[in-house]
Amino acid sequence: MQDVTVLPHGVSKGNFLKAITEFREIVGPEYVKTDDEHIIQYTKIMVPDDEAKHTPSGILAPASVEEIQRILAVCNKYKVPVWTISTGRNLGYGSAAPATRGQMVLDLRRMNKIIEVDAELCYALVEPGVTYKQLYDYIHERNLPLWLSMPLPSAIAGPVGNTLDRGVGYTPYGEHFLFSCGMEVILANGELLRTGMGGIPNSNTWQVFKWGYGPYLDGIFTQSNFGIVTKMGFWLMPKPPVYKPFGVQFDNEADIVKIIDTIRPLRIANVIPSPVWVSHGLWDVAVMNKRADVYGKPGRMPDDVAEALIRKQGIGIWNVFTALMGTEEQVAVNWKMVEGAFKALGGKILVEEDVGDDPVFQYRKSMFSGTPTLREFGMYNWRGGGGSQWFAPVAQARGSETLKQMKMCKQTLDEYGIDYTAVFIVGWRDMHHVVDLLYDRTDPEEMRKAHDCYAKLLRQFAAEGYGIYRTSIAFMDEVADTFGPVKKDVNRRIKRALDPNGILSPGKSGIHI
Amino acid sequence: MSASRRAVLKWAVAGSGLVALSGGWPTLAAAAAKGLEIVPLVGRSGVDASFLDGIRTGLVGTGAALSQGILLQPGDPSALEDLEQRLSSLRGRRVVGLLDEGRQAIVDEMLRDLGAKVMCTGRHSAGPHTGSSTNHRFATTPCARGIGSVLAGALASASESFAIHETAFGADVPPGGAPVRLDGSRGWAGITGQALARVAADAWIPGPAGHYRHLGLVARTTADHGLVTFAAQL
Repeated sequence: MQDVTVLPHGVSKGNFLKAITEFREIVGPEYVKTDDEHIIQYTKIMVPDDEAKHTPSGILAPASVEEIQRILAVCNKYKVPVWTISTGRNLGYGSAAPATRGQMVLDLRRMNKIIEVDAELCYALVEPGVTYKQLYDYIHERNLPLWLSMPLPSAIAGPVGNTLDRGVGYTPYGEHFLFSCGMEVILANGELLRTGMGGIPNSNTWQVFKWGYGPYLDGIFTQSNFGIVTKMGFWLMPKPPVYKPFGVQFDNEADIVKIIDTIRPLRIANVIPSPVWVSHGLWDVAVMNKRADVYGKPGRMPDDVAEALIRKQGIGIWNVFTALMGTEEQVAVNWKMVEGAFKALGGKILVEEDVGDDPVFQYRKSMFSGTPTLREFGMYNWRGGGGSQWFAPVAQARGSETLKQMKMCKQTLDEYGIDYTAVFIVGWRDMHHVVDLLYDRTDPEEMRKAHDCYAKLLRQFAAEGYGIYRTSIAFMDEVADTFGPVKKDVNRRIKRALDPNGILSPGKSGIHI
Repeated sequence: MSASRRAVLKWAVAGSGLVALSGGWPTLAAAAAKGLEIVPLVGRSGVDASFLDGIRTGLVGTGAALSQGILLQPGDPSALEDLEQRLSSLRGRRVVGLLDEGRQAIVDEMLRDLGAKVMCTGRHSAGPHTGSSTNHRFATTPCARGIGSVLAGALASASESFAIHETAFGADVPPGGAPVRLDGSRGWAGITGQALARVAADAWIPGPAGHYRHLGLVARTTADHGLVTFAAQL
């Protein structure tokens, strides 16, 4: 009998092997993997948890909607759960690994068709395996005047997965779910739901009108396990005639208050149309350096040491980056307002004409125009050891909130010896305060500290009324708890109604049957 | 570092993001018979030479051939764009790699995309938080089982301080014979290169997985930290 490394919870070996046989008949034997040399790649996590808790039972890679429907019939028959990934590049949130041990990873990377790109109405309809790089190349090969918005893992990640996890990018279309329009979803019983206008046979408005008729359902398929999204439409930004990226450096940590209070009205009024990136200087130092090369002590890097290092590298304690765009006239008018506002604060304004090919400016310029860049991966060399867990509370876009959240973070990071490598990303009225807890996975004690640090931050922030916009497979239940028992119960009731056998991604966002 | 190896690295600095390491390792002729080809992949860390030397030693007598290697340029991970194409041209070969964390995070994804079989990965760390010790965390499939204990034995014999953690994936493996002993004087990179080469050449004798810690007299031999090693079949 075939050897099995990890059985799904409550499934006998005999039934599991029958399911595997049937899966092979559906997708072909080469697309069903149960060997250790393939499974091990789906256990590679950066979050502070043991790989064993997230080891899948195997991997399935279907190529079509019909194959997924047939797979789900087998899953329901044998109660075998599947953990769906699109590209599985949710690095720092769990990568391709399931929330719980013993699920089959349903890897949708073979479903990578760009079904439609409409350059007049500026939208795309794609399958889940499409990567940003693939779509970027498609647009550029055809010289279409369109821009993408992509998150930091950019090229290697994909729009469906990122949007469904409610990730963000850095163009005016950076709030990705907001700009999605129409989904095709396979429910646990195999039924195919098209949201929005997609339910109308022969509709040509599926990707142009979001709401359809009756309750708007798209949201329940994000950060959830209620269905498998197999197609998603989203809006693309027309390439602006003028693009003016710029940075502003500030020399004092306390400047963050006036920075945010200055940005807020400009964002709300859309004078600055893009999200605004405000990174602490230590973030930028970490992208370009190894910690041991610049600081030889354990524990959180003291503020005075960090500030000296940041100054030595010629960057600000806070580094604002964003962009204006539009016609020449629009940009000129808006630039006058923006330049005046930042000059009044005493910031050092950086524009391309002055900095030329400065590599940091250039990669941020790429980031803010939806051009793939992998530069930020340098961050993983800062601490070494492959550990990264994003702590990402949401805040109001007010200066006073920054100091409060920063102080809370630093106190806890001090306790666990983790550096404050953080960025505030200013949306329209909110901010994501994103802190990368970088730690060394080779040291079990460091891993424990990183885990406990996140757990404590989560508790403390929740006690102050702050929620997390997104979390990793190591903390999905805990974060769900912070949003209250009623929300959790409603999620469970929807789950039981749509997926009574609990075969779809058990544990995603803390949702179980 | 020997003069010849220094020369290899020196000429490799110039050019694009990817450059070829020189071949011509001594096992090349004997290896062809078995048909396994091992491709080293390194990224200009301070221990590349030791790692490559370990690979060369590890392949002696295995019947596997050492192919021309790949040397990645340091710096911007964006320069990795060509690598996926290069790796896809290596179907059927085995890659033994040593890269920094930033680039390995991307290479891991390429390997998964290409449907590679990963036999073993190792993370290696040294920094202020590890004191005078080096830390190592391996994830092994049965064909590489016991690599942690072998590294532990070798480093202990050289009186180095270390902490090693091996996570075993897959079935338990009965010991395959006398435990492997490797020369501890090569440092962790040389020993790991040697061990991974034998894993890639199907010449590894499995041992037990476990956790090991040793306080030795010799301070760690490298300032490099945050490196990842792996052996994979493309």
